[in-house]
Amino acid sequence: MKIKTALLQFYRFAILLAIAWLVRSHHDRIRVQGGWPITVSEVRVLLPEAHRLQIDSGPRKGLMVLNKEREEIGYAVRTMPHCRKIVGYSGPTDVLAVFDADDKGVGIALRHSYDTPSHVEDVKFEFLFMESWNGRSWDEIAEITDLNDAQIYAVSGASRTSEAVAYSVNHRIAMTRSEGAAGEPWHFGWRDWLLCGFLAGGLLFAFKKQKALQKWRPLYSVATILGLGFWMGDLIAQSLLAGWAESQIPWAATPGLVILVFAAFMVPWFTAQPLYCQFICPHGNLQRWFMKVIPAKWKRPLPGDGKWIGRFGPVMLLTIVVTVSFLQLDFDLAGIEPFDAYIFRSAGGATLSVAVVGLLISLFFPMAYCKFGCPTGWLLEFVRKRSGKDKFSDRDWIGLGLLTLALVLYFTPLDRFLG
Amino acid sequence: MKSAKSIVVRIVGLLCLAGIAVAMLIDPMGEARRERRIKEVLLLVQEGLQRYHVQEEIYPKRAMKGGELVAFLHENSHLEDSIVNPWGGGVYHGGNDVDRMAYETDALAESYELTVRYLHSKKIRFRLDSTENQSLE
Repeated sequence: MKIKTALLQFYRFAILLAIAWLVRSHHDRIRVQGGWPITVSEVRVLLPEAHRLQIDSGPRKGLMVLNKEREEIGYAVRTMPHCRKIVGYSGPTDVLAVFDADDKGVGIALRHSYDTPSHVEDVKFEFLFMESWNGRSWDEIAEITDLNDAQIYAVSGASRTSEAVAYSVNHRIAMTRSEGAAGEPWHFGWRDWLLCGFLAGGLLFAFKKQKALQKWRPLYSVATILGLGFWMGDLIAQSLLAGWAESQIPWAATPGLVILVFAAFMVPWFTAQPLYCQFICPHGNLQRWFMKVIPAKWKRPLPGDGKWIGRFGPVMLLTIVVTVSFLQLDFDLAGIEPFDAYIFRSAGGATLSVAVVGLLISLFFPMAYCKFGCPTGWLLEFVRKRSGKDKFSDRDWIGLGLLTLALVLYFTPLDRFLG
Repeated sequence: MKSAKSIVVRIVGLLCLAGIAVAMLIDPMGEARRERRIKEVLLLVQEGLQRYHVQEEIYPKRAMKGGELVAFLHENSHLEDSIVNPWGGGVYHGGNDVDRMAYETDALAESYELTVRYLHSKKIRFRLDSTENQSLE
């Protein structure tokens, strides 16, 4: 039985990790490929055995070229959007540069140009120029500072266009060195200490049940609302989690917030204690106060079918989060949750409406938002260890459904949805 | 065992939730599709402008709406294929269709600026010109 429970817990965590990994990998692909992705057919012109391109999210930020046997046979990069400021006669040019397995250039190709078309044509058909990078290694190209010294000569009649092409290739290759060296310094400031303080408070109230301590819980609850909510605005939200999954976890910039989020997922996963939802979340605590102060006669029972349907509210919102993230839609995820409303000076209308309406509803149906509206709470509850007998339930099927949606969006070309 | 009424209520409830999700996503998806079409059109028009510039050594002298510019470049064979209006869906020309693209040049017609505004506001969505914003990436 213990093994079954442990496997279920791993399954739940694996589902979340898999979705986060798919989101990250998808966004790495977009970061590397930009608005006009390199296709296998383009690379095949220069490397005929090319069969598949695989994103390299390392410092080079290019594409590994694989053959049919999935062996790495080369590497490909494009110069845009990194080199958009390198302008020829009247605009920048997007150049594809391909290297072989020994890291030596096998050729370049002009993909699209904002430059004068006739000059671009002149460059394209000047084979001596176009083959200037052939046989040179990645490092050799990265070290080029003077085109003439490197025996790369501009095309007569299209000198500015060809120089822009050459500088774009060199800059694109060289930039991987400078970017690789840079790293944000780790900083643990007062906000991080405060967040850890709120976390420590939550842990104390969750696990130490002595009366002498618990009598301070109302004070802690007010502190989370005023401090963590209205003052700091550091609530765990879908916009935050999606942003971290898409780009990176800000270990160095906001370690306190990272620790809080980590604990919010891991503590319930290990201990079954809903640490964040029940103790730390300012919005949950605010609703708890509403529940205490409103007259009992205001409260309305929700019919069974209403409760059943309501449970799918957060799932519907999570579906939207996954879709928006993969398709990169112009949709502010902060607007589907009330958490940004705590920073009310900069809060949008949608988040304020969700906050106000959610709180008003909670006057009649206690904790309504937490139960039927919170996608973040759903995720935390999804990974939470069940007390007693655990089995594969509706939630686990829904988790699998969300992973399936993520897989469909990951493997289907964006053109199918947005073409 | 659930009653038939309960099952119907639950199915209708789920359909309502699905409807809300679709309603929330349909507009941003439409915008994303339109954005892609607009970018493609901008690139084609920009190429046509560059061809015109090579031949005439200046850019077209007067300011025009996008459709007018497309028709003008067509007449002078600087654009080969007909272009679809990214807002209306029909052939892009100087008619009465919705057209949020505008072309401008300086007094000597030595530079160009193509701008696309949002459908329901005057805010500029894309700008492609020969001086500062020379690419869409």
